[in-house]
Amino acid sequence: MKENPEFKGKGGDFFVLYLKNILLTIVTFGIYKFWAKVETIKYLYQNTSVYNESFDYHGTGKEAFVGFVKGIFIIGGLGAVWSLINYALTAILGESGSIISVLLLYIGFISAQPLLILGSMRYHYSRTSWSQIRFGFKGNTKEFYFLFIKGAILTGLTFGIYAPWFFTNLSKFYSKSTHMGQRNFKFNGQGGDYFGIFVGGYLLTLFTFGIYSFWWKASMERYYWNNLEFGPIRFKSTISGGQVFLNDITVLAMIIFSLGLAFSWALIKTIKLSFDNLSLEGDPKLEEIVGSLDRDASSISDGVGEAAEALEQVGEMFA
Amino acid sequence: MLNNKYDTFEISCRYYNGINPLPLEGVLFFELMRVRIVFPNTPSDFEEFPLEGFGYDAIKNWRMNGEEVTFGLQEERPDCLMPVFKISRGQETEDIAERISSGRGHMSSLLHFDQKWYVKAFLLMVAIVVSAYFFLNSLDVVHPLVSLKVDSHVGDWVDERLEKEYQVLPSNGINRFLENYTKRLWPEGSPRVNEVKINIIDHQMVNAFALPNGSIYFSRGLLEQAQSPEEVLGVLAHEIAHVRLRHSIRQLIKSVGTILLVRTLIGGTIEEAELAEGLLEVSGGLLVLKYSRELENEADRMAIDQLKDAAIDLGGLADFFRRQYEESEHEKVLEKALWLSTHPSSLERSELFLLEAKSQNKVKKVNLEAEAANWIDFLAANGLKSNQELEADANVKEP
Repeated sequence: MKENPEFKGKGGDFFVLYLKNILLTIVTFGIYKFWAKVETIKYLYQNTSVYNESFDYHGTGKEAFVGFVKGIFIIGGLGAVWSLINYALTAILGESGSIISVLLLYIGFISAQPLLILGSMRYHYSRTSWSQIRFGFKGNTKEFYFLFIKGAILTGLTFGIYAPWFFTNLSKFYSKSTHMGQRNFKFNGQGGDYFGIFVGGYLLTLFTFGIYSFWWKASMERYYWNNLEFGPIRFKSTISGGQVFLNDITVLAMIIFSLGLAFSWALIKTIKLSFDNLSLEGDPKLEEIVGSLDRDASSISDGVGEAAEALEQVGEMFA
Repeated sequence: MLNNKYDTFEISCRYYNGINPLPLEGVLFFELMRVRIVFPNTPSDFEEFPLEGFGYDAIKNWRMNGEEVTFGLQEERPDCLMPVFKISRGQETEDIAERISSGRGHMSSLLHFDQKWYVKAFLLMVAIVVSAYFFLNSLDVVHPLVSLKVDSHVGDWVDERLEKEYQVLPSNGINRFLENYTKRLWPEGSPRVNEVKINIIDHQMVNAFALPNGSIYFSRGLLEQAQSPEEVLGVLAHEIAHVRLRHSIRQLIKSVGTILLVRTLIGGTIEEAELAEGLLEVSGGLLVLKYSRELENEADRMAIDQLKDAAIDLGGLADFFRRQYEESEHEKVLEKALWLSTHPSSLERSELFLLEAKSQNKVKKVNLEAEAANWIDFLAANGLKSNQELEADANVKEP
């Protein structure tokens, strides 16, 4: 049993949505941005279907905005605490106190990343559905921290050689933590296999002055999909380097010659390329799936991320 | 127009309860006043919705999406499993949508007008240009909402950093001379006039600038290059105008607003539009530079009025800008690409001040304080050398 997912989005409709989002963002002095993001995700999901049923996104602009406001307060509070620590350490230890407090800031910032990633994924999946059945994400925090720290240290110590194993371990973690109803995803990729693609792709891209990068991109996409399972369903991607090359060159030309106006069509074309080359194999046994909802998922992690990004942009403006 | 006002529309539907991914197939009868549902294979204990039907006002979240229409019987909540009906989109669904909106007595949405995408895109682009124009102009008028304390805090903050970066010369007769004239150039008795503080930086660049808290910085190079006290007082009048007109805070508001606007227009709400980031920085920067030149012109116009009121010769400032233009290669290059400059052309400014100086000849110019009447002597009395003296020193040192 073979099934091809379908993406029905149209460049013109997406362009209108984009313009509508810009207009409302300007007249609301930026506040509509949160609703605009949600509308964009909704458009992309609602136009994607498999087994004749479409995906959907149930998050709202209000949730995203509330998350952002909470994020601002959380970052503001943590910033105030750090300022006090910085003040105290500098008063006690002088310049070395100031260095210690900056180090503490970096450590705190890096330590918060896994938590924010998990929170954000949990919220995003809890608001995503296919055939009205919600997805969910139940990543174990301790396991993720261990993976994250181990991966970051080993990748650093091996000058990047460990990166393929880090990537496959993360993919395995993300997949097994993601579920629809009671059924989980599974990623079967092995670091060793990915290492070949990674090193081969890197070297060939280097020797061909970047031309092989399109083939490398295609092989990484195939590697990901061809190792993914959802219960009895197996995914298969047949995307080729030639297709990626042709698409990326066309898309770039479209954007350049239209002075950016054709980017909606470019984005839709790129998404369609991936979907046109993707198939699902196996009896899906949909009747076995029972939907559920993660009621505790919240938009705070996303909001903290948005708030941090906004503060970073403000910082850049004054730099 | 409702085509079939009294008709009952019979439409196949799929019902999704959020628990089972396989929908229930059924038929919806959209009658005049109510909607009935018939599921041929419904279990007898099926009680998820009123089988006897519901009014049009019970229909929530009517959403047309491509070839499908989706709706529910509850207000959408992100943290609840929401059962929905899906039907195929067609002429009937347009009529039903009208029935739903007329039942509620309002238009469903102003932006859901039924037009081809390119008509919508064109109208939206026009609306975006108009709103962007009003948005940019609104940035010019919001500064009165910002307390003057913000000007002081921002200025104090920059003051601290400047004092660390540059050596500020101890206050001397030149500072006192300029502070005395500040009161004549800002005569309305504003309390802010007392906040003005003149500083001289020990640096050879030819520059002067004002901070929002009233600190005005002159570089040693500017004072040494000046040929007369009128030139320096002209620069002072221009810097005072920056403080009075709150140009720093206005520039800050305009810069932030412009960058946000350009970011919205190009980056929009789609993170994939990263390619446009370079374009964003350039276009935002150019708009900000244009505004900076407008503020310089505004400060020049106020300086002209101030100098005229104080009866100080405007020819001084005309000479200053003429010399700036003639002695600087940088100025000549920038004149050909003014859109890249923060300031208007020195040549144009010189001509403007010269023109105003001619009209000023009709009034009697005030005598400057005796001690500063001869600028070169005044500089020497305060430990600085004039440009001519510096050049002479350099010639003597050359073998």
